[in-house]
Amino acid sequence: MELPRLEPLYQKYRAQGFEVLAVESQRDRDRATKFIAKNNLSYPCLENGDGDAEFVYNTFGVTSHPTSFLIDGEGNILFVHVGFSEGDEDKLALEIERILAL
Amino acid sequence: MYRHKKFRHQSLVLVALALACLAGSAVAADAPPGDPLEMARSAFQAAESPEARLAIVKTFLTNHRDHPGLGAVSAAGPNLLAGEMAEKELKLAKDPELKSNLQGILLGLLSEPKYQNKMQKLVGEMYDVADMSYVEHLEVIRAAVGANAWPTVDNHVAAAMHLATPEAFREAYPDRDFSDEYIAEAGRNRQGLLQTFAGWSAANQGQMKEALKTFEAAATMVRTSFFGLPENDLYRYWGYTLLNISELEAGVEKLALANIYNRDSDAGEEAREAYAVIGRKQAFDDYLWELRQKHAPKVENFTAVDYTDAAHSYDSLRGKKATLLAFWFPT
Repeated sequence: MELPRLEPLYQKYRAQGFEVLAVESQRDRDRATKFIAKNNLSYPCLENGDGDAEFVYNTFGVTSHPTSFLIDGEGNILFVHVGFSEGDEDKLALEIERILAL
Repeated sequence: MYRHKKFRHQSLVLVALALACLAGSAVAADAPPGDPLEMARSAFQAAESPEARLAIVKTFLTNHRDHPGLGAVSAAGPNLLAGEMAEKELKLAKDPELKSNLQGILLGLLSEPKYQNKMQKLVGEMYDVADMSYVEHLEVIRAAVGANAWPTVDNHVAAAMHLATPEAFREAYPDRDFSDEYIAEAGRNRQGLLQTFAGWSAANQGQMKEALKTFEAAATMVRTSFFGLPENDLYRYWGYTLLNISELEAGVEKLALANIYNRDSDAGEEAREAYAVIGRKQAFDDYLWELRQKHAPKVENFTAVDYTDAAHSYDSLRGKKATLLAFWFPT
């Protein structure tokens, strides 16, 4: 699962200006809150909008999960990551460091 | 001249096909007479039912664990059996849904270059072109591309064109309530998908100018993703074709974009290889980074609530140097 593996990245880079925003797409509030509590996620976890306010698909066209967009300070989506497997944290870390110019 | 491996591959396929024909079966392509593999092959061919054939494969796998042909039997046996059974059942099937499912299984099994001839023959037998839906045509076209069966691709692209219209799309989904705008776009997208395959078929038959012209037309019609790029394999095919006519810079860019935004790893590998041939000083990963900056879409602001119902807007993070927006759901 992707979210718990993002926590160490968040802790490592947040002082350099890195933020994580998790968005739960299916509005399964009960299971989502249990998962977030169980894994001690400290970054903001949001919920997709309902009806006309839905934005995961309507605004970002996201249909596969997990999907992550890495965005620079100008709002440019520079990296897209779909799925999550062993070692993907390292790939993400490289991209984060590139944006942070570390 | 840079020779892209998707095209190079075809000559290897012809050699492999010839070997398979000489041996008479994919199960025992290299077995000498008297060899257990050869005996299994003969028994396999003589067996009267799929069940008997399955028993022969199982026996071989049990008794000849160290035989060098073990891997081939493991891989080819189930495929051949599935093909045999689906083909046999298809001849008996009356229920349209069952028939359609079996056709799908067979198309999937035959979607490899080594089954090029069988694919062409079977598609001719299985379908009445005049009665096919757009979706059925597309299924055949995709499988035929996998088998390098270009005449089949061309026939079905031509036959499906009259179904690539807004009117035909609306007719195919009479119970759905689509907007006029959506229907118009769906019709264009159908045309774009067919043009994509037509272009790729032309490229594989050596008609490069025709292929490029067709890809350009497809790009104006096919549905694009959030990132502004075609959602289908257009950039992959276009990129391969450009490499093949030594338009390396343009080909690398198309393939790299397919890799970045459509997660096409094969296209990414090919782009990396071709980039090395160009001989630029800039490292490939730096080139990719530049390309991403050039094509990156901007995030629009959005607002969503957290689990205490507090609202958060993306705009509040704009001062951050980097933000990871992670979409998920609990499983």
